[in-house]
Amino acid sequence: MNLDYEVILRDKNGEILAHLKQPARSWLKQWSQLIYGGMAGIAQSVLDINGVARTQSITYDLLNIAGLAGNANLGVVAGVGTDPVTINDYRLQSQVAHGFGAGQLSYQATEIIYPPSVSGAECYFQVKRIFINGSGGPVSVNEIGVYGAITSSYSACIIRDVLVGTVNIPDGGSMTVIYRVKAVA
Amino acid sequence: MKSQLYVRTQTRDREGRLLNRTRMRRCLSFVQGYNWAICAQFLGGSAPSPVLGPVKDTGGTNRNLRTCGIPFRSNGGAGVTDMGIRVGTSEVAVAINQYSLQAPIAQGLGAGQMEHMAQTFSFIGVTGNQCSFETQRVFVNNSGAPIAVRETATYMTVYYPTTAAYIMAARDLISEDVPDGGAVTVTYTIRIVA
Repeated sequence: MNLDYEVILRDKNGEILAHLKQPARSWLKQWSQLIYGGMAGIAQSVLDINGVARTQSITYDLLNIAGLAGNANLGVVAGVGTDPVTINDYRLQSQVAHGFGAGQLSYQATEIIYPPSVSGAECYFQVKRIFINGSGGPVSVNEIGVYGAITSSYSACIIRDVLVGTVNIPDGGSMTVIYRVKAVA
Repeated sequence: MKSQLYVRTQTRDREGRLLNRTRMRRCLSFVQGYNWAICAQFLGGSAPSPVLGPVKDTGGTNRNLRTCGIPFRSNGGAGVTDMGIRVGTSEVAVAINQYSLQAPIAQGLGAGQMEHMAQTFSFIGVTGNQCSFETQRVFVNNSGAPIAVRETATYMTVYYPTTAAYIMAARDLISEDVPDGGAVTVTYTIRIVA
């Protein structure tokens, strides 16, 4: 399974200021644990985004990432941390909170763009979230990721990427993050 | 960092002597079914709208998927062929849109059949910059004649509206000649590398 991401930066008029597209370097230990638990039917103890060990669901809740608007604990997330990704990371280094205060971003709903499409030897679908800056000042983003459900109450960081450069979202502007999840035969 | 798949095989005769062993090799073999299964879980809703489908199950029937009550489940028990690792006899190349083994070997003791043992799992965990787990299944040939095993796959559980269906998540070509009374062991390793 391969993963790419796109980051699209827009100003308050919707004009594109930057468009970044990179291969992701980002599946984390929690991803392996959650998939393993599902395949084997053996619930694993998985660190949630607060570093607390939780026994995973091996039923419907597993790996739900469809975070609603305002839910910064599920779905695509953004942060200001710059530490390199390690396989044991269990959250963004320094997540940007949801809101309209200084240094905050308004998290729109995470969208799963489906059905998966076949193109050549690939089959892919996309995961998208828009972050709007209504803070009154610029907000810088250096890291992105995805939080997925361990259970209906807790989530784990399954993907984390550090951007190749800082994305400075102007006041009134937005950042769109799109992850492309690919199976390649 | 990719989620990578590796496969290795070994064949033993009826006395348990090792006849052939292949080293772990990287596969390029995830097929579309795995992506559909992940997509269904990511959606987190019991009834996606618009529908998530159609995708063919391992029987070739079109299904509209929903979030699964036993997502990714692959722990096939002894004799179970709906889910878990399977083997077959076809040498047709892997393609992204395949939905089943091309010539699956049936469960049983008859001509051309093999006994499917219970699938096992082992979480290896983090070693350096890797995190991996293994899953393994043994297939015993008591058919009365040799069987040429040329393909293997993993079938996993998905849900369509109210009950389970099964999709092929990965398929790979292998080459193991299993004598009567012998067995082939297929081991898949799923690894992420930082």
